[in-house]
Amino acid sequence: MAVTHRRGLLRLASLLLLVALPSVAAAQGQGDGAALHAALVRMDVLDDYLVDLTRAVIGDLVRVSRRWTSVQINGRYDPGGINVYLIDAGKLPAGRPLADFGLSNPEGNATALETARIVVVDTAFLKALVATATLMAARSLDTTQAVATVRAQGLDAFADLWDPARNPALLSAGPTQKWRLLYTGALAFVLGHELGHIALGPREAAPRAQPRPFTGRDRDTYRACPSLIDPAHRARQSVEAEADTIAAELLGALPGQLTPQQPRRFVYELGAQWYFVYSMAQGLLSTLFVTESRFIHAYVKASLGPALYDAVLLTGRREDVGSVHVFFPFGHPPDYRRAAQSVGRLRSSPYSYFYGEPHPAEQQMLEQVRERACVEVAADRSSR
Amino acid sequence: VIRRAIGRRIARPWALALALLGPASALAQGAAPSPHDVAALGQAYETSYRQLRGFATAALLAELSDTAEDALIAGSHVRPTSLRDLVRHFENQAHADLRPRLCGRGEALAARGLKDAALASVGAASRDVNVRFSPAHSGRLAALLVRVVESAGPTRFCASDSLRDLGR
Repeated sequence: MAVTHRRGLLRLASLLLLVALPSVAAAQGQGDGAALHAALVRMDVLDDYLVDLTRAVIGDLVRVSRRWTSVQINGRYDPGGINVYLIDAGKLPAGRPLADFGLSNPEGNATALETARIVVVDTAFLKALVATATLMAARSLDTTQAVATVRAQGLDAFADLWDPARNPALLSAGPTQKWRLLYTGALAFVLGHELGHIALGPREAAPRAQPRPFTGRDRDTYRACPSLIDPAHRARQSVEAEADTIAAELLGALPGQLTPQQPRRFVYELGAQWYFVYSMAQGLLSTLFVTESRFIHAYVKASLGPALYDAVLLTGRREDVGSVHVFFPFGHPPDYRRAAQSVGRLRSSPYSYFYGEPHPAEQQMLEQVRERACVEVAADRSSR
Repeated sequence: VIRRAIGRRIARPWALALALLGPASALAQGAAPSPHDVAALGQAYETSYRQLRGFATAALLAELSDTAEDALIAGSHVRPTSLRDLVRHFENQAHADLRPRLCGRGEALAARGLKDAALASVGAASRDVNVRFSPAHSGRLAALLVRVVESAGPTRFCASDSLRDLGR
């Protein structure tokens, strides 16, 4: 009887703990949220760039999510809604000033603080998207050439394109104008991905495996084979894949069920697809600085032309550590896989403009190449 | 003042072009895109995506194997338009390097109408090559080539009409 009673108390205590934990986490998150906002104001990094567009996009996402009810951007922290902070990450103090809040610097991208329902976006990322998309339209460049042009000349050189005060067309153009739909849809996917993280909540990544004695190019090669280097790697990447899935589901739900031909689907579906092309183009350029592979340099030179290739090379320091890590990063699944999964999910909607188009077999070939390489790497490692 | 204003617009030709482009389009008014617009943008995406994915694969191969890098450059595949092109290139190389060893005995058996024996012979030769090819080439590339051969199937891989007929 005493045992049964003790078990009952334990069960009750466990239940109370389970009920209490989320509210403790939420209270902690709210405290973090207010403190983060105060810190961003103190550091003077808030940047009201394309606030209306961002509000419209994330408003759409929040509306179809049916999880949250309100959004605020760059204002006082709202514990009941989604909070977006657009910041100029280039103005952040040196070091990791956001580390106390569990945030890495969102340089050139976006990041989420799940417990506080905060998304932080570096406006340099947004400006680069806008500059690249408008440059493609204005100069008839493909994505890789436009990305390279922005990288070679620097973002400030294109203020005439990304600054609404100097380019009023940014505000007056219709939503399905090609260049506008590209950056709008790309922004939507990125925000949807961060909302996905918030929906999933904080996930404690398993501790990393002991560092293995890989050096130089070996270390780079093993990046293509996550399970060989870090058992926790796959778990971390699966969280990212889940966030992508939520983003694709939100985007897919946006047009509504009764109006399949809405321009909005056009914007979000094609813009999301373009985001991956944009990201892969950035990766292609990044390889130039980490490898001396003759093939890679020849390919990029042929893609960009000699002058643009040389101009890009001048923007960074070169070392020969291997480029596999560019395509197989730790933080996210490779872009080609993210694109295939997210685009495939978007296209699976019967309202997709590309509904029913077959999944390219080439994707499987690339996976086959990677897996084959990893088998060889594993065999090579075990024989040492 | 007017001259200064015009000068400023000319100094920003892209902004001017975009300002002119924007409102004129039917799409800009928020109208549903035409099938042509959809197809054009969808095609542009597919082309770019395939090129970049092809590059990712080729770069991975080039980083893993000096032999693959040499093959990529020598094969004029500096700009593979797709991964399929790349694999076709390897397939061609596999033809040149492996075909005599893989297909010779199989073709002789096929000529005698011994279908199963012919296919089995090519399959066995393929496994044999998989083992023996490594010293001459990068092991990883050789394994990849043989895998391409295996996925293509011996009846497609071997040039002999008699063996190809078996696959029909």
